[in-house]
Amino acid sequence: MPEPGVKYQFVETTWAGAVGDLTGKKVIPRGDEIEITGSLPVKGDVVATGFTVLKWREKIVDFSTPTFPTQIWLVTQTDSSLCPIKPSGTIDADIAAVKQQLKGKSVLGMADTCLDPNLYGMKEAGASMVNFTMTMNALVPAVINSDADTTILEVPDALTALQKWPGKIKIIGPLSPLQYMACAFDKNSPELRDEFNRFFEKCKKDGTYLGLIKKYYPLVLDYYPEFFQVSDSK
Amino acid sequence: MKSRRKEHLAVLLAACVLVGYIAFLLFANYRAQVELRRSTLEHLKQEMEKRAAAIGYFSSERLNDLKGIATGKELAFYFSNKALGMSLRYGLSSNLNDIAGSFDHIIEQKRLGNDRIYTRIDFIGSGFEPHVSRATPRAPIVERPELEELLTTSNSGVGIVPRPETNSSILKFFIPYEFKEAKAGEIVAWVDLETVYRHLIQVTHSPSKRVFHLGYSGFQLPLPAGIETPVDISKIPDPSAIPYGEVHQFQATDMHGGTIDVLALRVPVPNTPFFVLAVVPYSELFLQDALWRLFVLPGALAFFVLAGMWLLLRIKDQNLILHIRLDESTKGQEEVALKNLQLRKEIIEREEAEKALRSSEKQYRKLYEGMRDGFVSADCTGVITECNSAFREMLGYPGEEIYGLPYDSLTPPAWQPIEADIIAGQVRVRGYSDLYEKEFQRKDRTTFPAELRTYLLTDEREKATGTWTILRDISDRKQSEQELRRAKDAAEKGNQAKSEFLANMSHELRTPLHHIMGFLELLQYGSGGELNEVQKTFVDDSLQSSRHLLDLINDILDISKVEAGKAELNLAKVNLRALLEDSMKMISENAVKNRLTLSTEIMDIPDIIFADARKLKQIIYNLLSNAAKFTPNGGSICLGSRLSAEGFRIDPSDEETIGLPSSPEFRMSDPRKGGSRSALDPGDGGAPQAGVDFIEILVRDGGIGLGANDLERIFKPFEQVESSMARRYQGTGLGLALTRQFVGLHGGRIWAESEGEGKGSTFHVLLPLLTTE
Repeated sequence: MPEPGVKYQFVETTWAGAVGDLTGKKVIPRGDEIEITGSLPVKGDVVATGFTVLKWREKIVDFSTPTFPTQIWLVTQTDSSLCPIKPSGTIDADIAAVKQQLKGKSVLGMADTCLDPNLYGMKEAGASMVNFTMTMNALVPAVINSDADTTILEVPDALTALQKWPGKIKIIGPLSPLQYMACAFDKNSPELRDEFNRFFEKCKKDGTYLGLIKKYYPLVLDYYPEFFQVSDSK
Repeated sequence: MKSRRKEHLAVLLAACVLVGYIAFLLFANYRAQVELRRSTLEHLKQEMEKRAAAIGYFSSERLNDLKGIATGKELAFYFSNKALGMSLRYGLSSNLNDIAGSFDHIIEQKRLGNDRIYTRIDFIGSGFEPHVSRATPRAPIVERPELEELLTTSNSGVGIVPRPETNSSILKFFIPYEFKEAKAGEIVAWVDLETVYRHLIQVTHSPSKRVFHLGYSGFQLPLPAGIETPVDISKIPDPSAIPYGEVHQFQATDMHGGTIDVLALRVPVPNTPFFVLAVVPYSELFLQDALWRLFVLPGALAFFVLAGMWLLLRIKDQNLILHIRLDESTKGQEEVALKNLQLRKEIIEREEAEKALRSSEKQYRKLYEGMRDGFVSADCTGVITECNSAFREMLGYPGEEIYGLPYDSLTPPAWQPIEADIIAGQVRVRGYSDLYEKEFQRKDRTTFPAELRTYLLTDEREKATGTWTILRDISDRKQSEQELRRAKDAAEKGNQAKSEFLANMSHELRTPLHHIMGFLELLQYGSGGELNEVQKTFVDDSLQSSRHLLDLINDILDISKVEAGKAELNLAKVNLRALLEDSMKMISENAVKNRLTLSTEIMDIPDIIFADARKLKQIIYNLLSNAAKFTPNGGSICLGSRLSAEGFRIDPSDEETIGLPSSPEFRMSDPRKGGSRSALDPGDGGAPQAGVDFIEILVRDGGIGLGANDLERIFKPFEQVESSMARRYQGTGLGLALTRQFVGLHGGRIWAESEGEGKGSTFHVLLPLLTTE
């Protein structure tokens, strides 16, 4: 993998505290907007994870070239009365079809993350939100254990959960249009972001990036082939 | 010739053995070939069955792989999620990815050697839509119609999809998939036949030309690329016409257009619709085209070998004959030379023999003519054929005129029958005669006595051819005998005259002597008055001398009688024990006077014996009186007697028959000498004379003893021990001589024993015990 000429150092953070650790600002998302309530020590230069590009995050950080496609799917246990939707061909119609079944259902999510149900109009759909304070990996077991009727997962996690708990969960359908994940930089680090973008582009061109995708998220190639611009060559 | 015959027999035997061996080898080879063929076919069949089994197992494993997929979680999850309503767009495609992943895993893992078994695995939906399909670059392209046909024509199993355009075939394995007891699709796996062929069918790298085909539905599949067949497979008969397990021979066209014999064998692949077909050139499987050719070459070889042997034998025989003839010729020459040598040798030997013979003859002739005794031989007719000069001289025939005369003409008529008896009884019987006497008649008709012995002459066949005689003129001896007889007669006459004289003289001598002794005894008894001392002495001396003279006259007369043969033995019963005791009394007066100790040792003897009592008494008295005479004062005399069953031995010269009046004749046994005894001593431990016991009488004294020279001499008349002793001890010198004569009359023997002078003597008398029967 081509070296961008930087030295890597892992800094642990949380989904909710990643922005603050990157920017040094205490941020409270308000829908698509934010509220800065204080200062925090800056702990890192890059949020190098699958950080979903959200409007409110764009207000405070600069994202790199999208590194991964994603989408929010509604997941429920197999015995749930919710039924997987038939794809209509358009994302909006599919989202609407999913939301139609949410009335009176609880949705387990994680506030201030991409899995915050408020981001996806759950409330408006009539669903009750249940805030999950544990790790993201525990969301599905909580639904399997009927801690909530449903939960929302990003597509890679949903696909992983399908493999991890086969026969115990089912995918109802999307709750969001196609989203992207990217790396986040402080607004004061444009060069760093640009340098990363160049680096990432090089990885995509030489196949390194695709190789990683095939190794760790091969399924996503089937779902979002246009993102990866690969043909079905098996 | 015998050796030749043996050799022929040996060669014949060897040939028979060789032929037999070749026949055996041929037969064994034929059997071996048959067995080899059977074994080869069996091996081929096993090889094919092994391949068929491998293919069958391979096929089963493929189906098992598909079953594994069918029972795997991937398909189940897919259909479960599908049944839940999940769409491919939202989640279901991940299940398909899982299914694809499992297919990829199987494709990657399942291999034959280094080659992947599967080129493609599909999951076909019930509507023949392919849900998942994973393939390798070599995977065949299967169109949907082909799939439809495949999946509708059979439920499951194995099949082949021929690709004639590429001259290849693909094996297909498929099983239905059911979800909740409803068919949901088909799992289909594809296998490149070339891989199977290379790993399971045509696996050997040998230069063998045998080719195995995989067949299906009665026809063989094209061979994969790279596998050559020596036979144009399209020209061989329909394989389905070949029954399973049977070898089928046919002619095929090789790749060069020629015709070759091939063998085909078909075996089914178990649990599949396939079969394995082996097409093998006949020549590769069986070395010979036909078994009968086995016999041709070895037979021809055997024939040539035998022919060669026969030719060699014949050549050898001819050589042998030539050698034999040469040897015979050489041997003949050698034999001739040897015979010549032998002949020369024989001639020399003969000449030497003749010379020796002449010399011997000359010597014998000299002896013959020089011997004093006469020699004459006559033939079977009795005609004189040979005689020596002594004979001629004896008979008074100086020249050759005696030859041809009859032998009997030289014998006085009175002697002819006697001699004839001797010839017939002795000469003709045993070959020779005893020494006999006869008279011969000289030419001048005078006769002379001769002593002769006649022998029988025989030829080499022991047949009598005549006689020969050795004779001696005994005229001188006869004359001597005559003179001797005259002398004897004269001596006998003289002896008789002497005896008569003695007898007369004894009367004439004893009569006046008795008168003298009588008157002297009267004077001694005082019949003529009292005598003074001197007169007594004169009378005693005269009387003693008279008695001595009487004893002498008696002894002389007795000996004379014995010598004249006129002594008689008057045998009668004698009480021996009493006789012995009386004899001791006879010397008791003398013993007392000389203070002699008398003793007797009379053992267990019969009381009565037959003997001449007077002579026996005299014998004992003589011995006792001698003992008393020669034992000094204070000595001892012992008279003993015992019975002895042992015989005694005497000198052979004493062996003679003694005739006893009214008594059985008896003969003495053989002698044995030893010790200081007389020549007439009996030996120790002699062999008993059968039926005869002996009585032994002995007189032992402690007197003057005897020297070794005196032991025999004292028994001769007028012989006494040492002259000086004789003058001290009076005696006639005739006592022991007379005692011996008397013992001899009884048929007994007497001998003396002594250990030397001054050591006493023992006189033994051994008499045969005569008893009544």
